[in-house]
Amino acid sequence: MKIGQTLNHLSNNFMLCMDTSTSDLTVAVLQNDQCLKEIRVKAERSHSIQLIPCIQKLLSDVDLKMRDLNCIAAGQGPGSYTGVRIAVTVAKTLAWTLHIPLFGVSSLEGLSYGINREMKLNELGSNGLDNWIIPILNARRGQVYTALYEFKENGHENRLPDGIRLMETWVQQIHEYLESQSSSKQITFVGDVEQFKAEISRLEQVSGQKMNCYEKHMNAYDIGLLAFKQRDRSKIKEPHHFIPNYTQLAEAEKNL
Amino acid sequence: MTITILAVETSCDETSVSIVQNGKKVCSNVVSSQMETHEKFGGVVPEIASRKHVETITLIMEEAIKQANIDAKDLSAVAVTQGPGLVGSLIVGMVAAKAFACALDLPLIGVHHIAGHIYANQLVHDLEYPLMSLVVSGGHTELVYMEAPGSFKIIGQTRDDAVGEAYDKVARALGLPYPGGPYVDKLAQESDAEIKLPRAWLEANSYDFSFSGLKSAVLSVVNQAKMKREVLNKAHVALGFQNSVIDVLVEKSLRAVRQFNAKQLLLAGGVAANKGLRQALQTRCEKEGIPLLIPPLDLCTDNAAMIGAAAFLKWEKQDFSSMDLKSEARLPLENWITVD
Amino acid sequence: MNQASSFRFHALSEKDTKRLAHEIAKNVQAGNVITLDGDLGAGKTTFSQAFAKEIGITEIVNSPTFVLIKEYQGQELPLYHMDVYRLSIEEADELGLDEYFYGNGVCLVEWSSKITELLPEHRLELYITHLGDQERNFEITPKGDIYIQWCEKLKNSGVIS
Repeated sequence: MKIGQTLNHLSNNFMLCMDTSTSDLTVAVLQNDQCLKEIRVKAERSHSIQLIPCIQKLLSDVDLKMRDLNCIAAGQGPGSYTGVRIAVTVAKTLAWTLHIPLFGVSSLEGLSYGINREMKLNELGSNGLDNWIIPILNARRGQVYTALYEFKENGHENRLPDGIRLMETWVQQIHEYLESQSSSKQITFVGDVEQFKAEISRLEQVSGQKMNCYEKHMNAYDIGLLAFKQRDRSKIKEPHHFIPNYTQLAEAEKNL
Repeated sequence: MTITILAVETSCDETSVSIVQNGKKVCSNVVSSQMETHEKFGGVVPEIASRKHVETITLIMEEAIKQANIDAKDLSAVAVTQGPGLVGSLIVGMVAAKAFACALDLPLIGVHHIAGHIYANQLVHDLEYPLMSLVVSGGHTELVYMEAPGSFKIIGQTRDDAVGEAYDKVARALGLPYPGGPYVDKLAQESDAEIKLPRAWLEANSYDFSFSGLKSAVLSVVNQAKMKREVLNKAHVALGFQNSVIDVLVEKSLRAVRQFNAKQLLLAGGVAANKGLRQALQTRCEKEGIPLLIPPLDLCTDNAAMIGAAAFLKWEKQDFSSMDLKSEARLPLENWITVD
Repeated sequence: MNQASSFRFHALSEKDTKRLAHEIAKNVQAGNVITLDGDLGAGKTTFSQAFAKEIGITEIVNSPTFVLIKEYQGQELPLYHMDVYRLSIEEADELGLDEYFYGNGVCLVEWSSKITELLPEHRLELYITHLGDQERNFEITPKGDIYIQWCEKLKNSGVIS
């Protein structure tokens, strides 16, 4: 078997995208930046059982075969360790087997990108301010997988990196960061917002500013859109070295 | 016709991929051991094992295909360990195998890890049924009777610790490194005397095993020495422990062979690497005229070739798994395959 | 109210250990969590086996060390038998232990001190000390009202002191 990567015509391509970093399982096929079909299921702990059948159903619904695919994209986390490993393993195996390019995207960025897209679509919260989007995924015991992304009219940037943080101190950090800015910002929390209502309302109190809060699920479409934006030879991941972004060392390694 | 199976095994801390033809011929058997990593922690750390599997899985698949010098289009099926084992580890191999099978449009075959250990023997010997198999590893201690290919009957098993686990725990008590088996075995081989330790024979007709009493006996020897401020001769304890374990394993296996009129005794599993056990079984089987089959060391420890060997049983029945196959930490052996 | 004071049970033989398992099993209901700590060879698995038998499990209950969690079906309740010795807090979390702890069965958790922060607030803690041969001391610490009531009942009937 010849193993290697050939960069196909990325201008007209079918991309298979997936994310399993949350309790949802989501897969989508894009043709360029258009979503042909997306499937999302509440998988809880059954991602490893359902992922391949979902991909098969997805492809058959849009009448594509595995060999028709031109590239693969996967959410690399952070999120549930076992969960993230499933999409990452499937994506790297498919990309390697089919000899097609592989892209990795931050799952938190995907979630942020998705809510920004929806807000724009529904003309929500738009008041000309830069939108700070803060994805939060419950990592238990008061911790969240989170980051801070700034969305402007012409694009977005990561301001505070993906990581696992204590929600209690995280809102404090956001407050301080906000104070240091020269312009005011619109702030949007997305993800498991309901479970962290208390911390978010504390931030509202200290900053004297209302926060947008959206419970939102992960969409593979957004993973695909982000991958599409990075469709550049230099961003292609080598499948053998493609691993999840756990954001912290396993406990045992840390204690060594 | 040649049936070529690519097999994946990730039930514990070894990432392994193998190409096996007709359940007999090993074209390649690549094993990436994480031993060094886990040595540092004094045991397999599940999360770390899972991470290492993700890091290496496609590399090992590529290496296995390369070493076998085959083309992916020559493959007939993809086999994967379904269980038992550590769930997090099993899942990585499972989804990689599914993705590979799905991309190449190949059937998937879920394999029982213990069936794999037993069928490792088929890679080097011709099996004659009915046969008796002694499966000894870190997670298992079982006497499995096989009347015909694919028919598995557990006639005895451990009531507490698995043999390998007892070795690891005793090694820990003696201050030896992990994994303890080889160290205890080596100490025992070099020892000139033994501290007599008890043997758990259980009920007269039972084929079950028990090692926790023996483990406690070792601990009490260690504690007594500590209390009396004596320097304990670890080698003497190691030999006493090893003799006790081996005596029980050998006696019960031979009794089972006789009672079930088995034509062969198969040794399987990682503890089959134990020199003391191999020697004792060889001596006794020779004396009693029982054919003893032991796979070479690299086929005793966890490896994917054995999974490819066992998968062939299911290939012959065209008994394929669906793509929603679930990894099971406690997959039962006896109904793993339907016997006609 | 949840003041945790300890009780003790002195077992001279394995038979005594079984009697303690019997007395504790009598009270057991869905969602109960019993932790077992003590040195290697203290008798955690021995207690677990006796307990399993008491709640009607007929199959062999052997060491869960290798696969971490073993599930059994008792007469009325499922039993979740765990050995968390090799687990870090992070991984224990990933295994979804909460589903077991707050589920519809009984949990026996060996080496629970490795994951103290993840344990339910209400639980029965058993700390076993090896005193020689089959002789054991059980230090029994109830956390939470129902377990305190259990212990008081056991104390009143003279089982533990």
